[in-house]
Amino acid sequence: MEKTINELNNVMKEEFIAGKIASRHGLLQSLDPRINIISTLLLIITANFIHQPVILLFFNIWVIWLAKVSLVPIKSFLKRVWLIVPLFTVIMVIPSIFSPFLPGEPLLVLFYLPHPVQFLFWQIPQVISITKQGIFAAIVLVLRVGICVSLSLLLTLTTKWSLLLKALSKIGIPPIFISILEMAHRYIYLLLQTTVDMFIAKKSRTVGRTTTGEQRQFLSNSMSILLGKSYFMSNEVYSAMTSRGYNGKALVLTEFKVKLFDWLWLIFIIIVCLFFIGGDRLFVWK
Amino acid sequence: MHIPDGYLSPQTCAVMGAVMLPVWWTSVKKVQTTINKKYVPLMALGAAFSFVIMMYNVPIPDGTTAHAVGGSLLAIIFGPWAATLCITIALAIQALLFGDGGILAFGANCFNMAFVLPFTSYYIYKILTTNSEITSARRYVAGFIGGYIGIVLAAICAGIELGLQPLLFHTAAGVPLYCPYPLNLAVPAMAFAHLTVAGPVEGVITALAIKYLQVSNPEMLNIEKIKAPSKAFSYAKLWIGMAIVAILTPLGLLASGSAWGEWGADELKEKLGFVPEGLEKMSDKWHALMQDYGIPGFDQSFFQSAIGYIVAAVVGIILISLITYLFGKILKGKDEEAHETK
Repeated sequence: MEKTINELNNVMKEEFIAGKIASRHGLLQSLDPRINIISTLLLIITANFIHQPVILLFFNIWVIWLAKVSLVPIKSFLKRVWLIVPLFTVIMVIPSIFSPFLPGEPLLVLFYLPHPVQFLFWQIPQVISITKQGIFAAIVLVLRVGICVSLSLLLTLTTKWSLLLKALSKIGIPPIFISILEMAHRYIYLLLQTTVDMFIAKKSRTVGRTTTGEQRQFLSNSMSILLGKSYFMSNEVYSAMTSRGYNGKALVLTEFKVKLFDWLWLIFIIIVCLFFIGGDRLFVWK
Repeated sequence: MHIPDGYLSPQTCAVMGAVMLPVWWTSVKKVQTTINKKYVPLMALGAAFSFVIMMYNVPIPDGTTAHAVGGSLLAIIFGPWAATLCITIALAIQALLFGDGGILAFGANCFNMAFVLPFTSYYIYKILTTNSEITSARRYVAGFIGGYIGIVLAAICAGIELGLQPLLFHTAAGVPLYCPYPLNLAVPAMAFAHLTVAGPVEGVITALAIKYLQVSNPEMLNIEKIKAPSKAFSYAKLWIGMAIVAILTPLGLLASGSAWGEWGADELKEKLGFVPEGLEKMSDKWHALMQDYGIPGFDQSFFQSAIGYIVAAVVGIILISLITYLFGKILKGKDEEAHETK
């Protein structure tokens, strides 16, 4: 229960920090949010088409540079990018560098089995080794995941949530989706607060230890209560909305204007993508 | 089960996105016709609920915790289409704000968690509870079975998506380019983890929640029935179209040769019979500018051309970094100007 309370508080804290960074005057913050979204997408797609570790490494370094120019605190940025998701990726790909999982040319032979073993539908070869192919695949995956995580984090760190949503609606996402998304985002904090309150209330009344079963019972009960509250509140909100003249259409107040610099930036991003893809096709790792 | 970007090839992501498009469209239409305009706040709160639920740490017997998706509960109470919308939006917020699940892989993640999971749970629950009283024990037993099977099936789908990667996308030497584990490893691994831990958690939570609602708030279990189904909208054509897309896409993926969109000019000529003029021009210019990433007249030996590559790459990187920096400087200057004039 404590773990959940801490996690909920962390979510609120992170959102607050992100809001602060988004209001700084860096490179990506100054761009039109639509251009920011499109260039992030282009770069992520490019990163997924690149298969050479050297190019991926350069790409990574450039993205960190981009973060620096956008006045994102590099230390916490690197911590967030490289400690969470890629660490998970590293753990996940470690088995793949050994020959039982990914057969290939042995780079470092670890030991020999007396004979190949068949385990269910999985063949364990006689020679257990670290393979060249395995190392290559692992490096590529970790570097690529790093780029993608950095880019999407950078996009959300440098764009205010409200602007991001408006930009999304301008590039073809149905407005219904956007308005639900926008409202959901606000209600998350309300429901988080409600949950924290419920949990703290429960905790302050609990003396001694509770069993796993009791804790589970409490959790599922609070889940159902939360669901009931949400349903009740949605009816209230709907009445409030209709009484204020809501007719199913959402209006967007901010108008975006694409400046010359935005176009230049987009052209530059396309050149960067071509540069990395071109490099990837020509610079072949063997 | 949130697949981050980089594990799935862009081609797979595109296919999964394409499969989800008609599902999203139908869910919006369906929800619109059954719950009326009321659905905007309802969906928003449903999405917020599903987001918050994914953060509940459910204690499990060995002392650690796991989290449930809550998709089964949403599907059972609001119906599968509404659950699809709610979970999609919760996943969008997770991907955009918290980096949980990739942006390109969004379609795939939605397919597993916002489509397979709620629909499986819902129909299992429906079949098992036909003609049952609201207070009957069949309801929560069905909730457990629905939640359990739903999440396991979603995990198996994720395993298949990941496991197909090394078979479809690898270099000539057999090096996988995306997720390195083939089907015979990825699917059992995903299935095992969910059969033993996540499945029971989702099942138990769904069952306990239903049991609680039976006692404290039985009307909630009847919401879905109250809504009058509308026959104004035909889905037949849509589903036929979706079936065709689903059948065609793997064929495209399995075709030999270069990956889709990665053809060189020669290959394109072979495929199309001609090279689009623009592309030919572009590829000519590209070569003239970069000279195959080498330095002209400096490509006599392997060593020389290797140095040529590196020099070209370093020059390119420096240029790109510099331009990035300049953009930052110029935009910053303009921003300050704007502030001063205010």
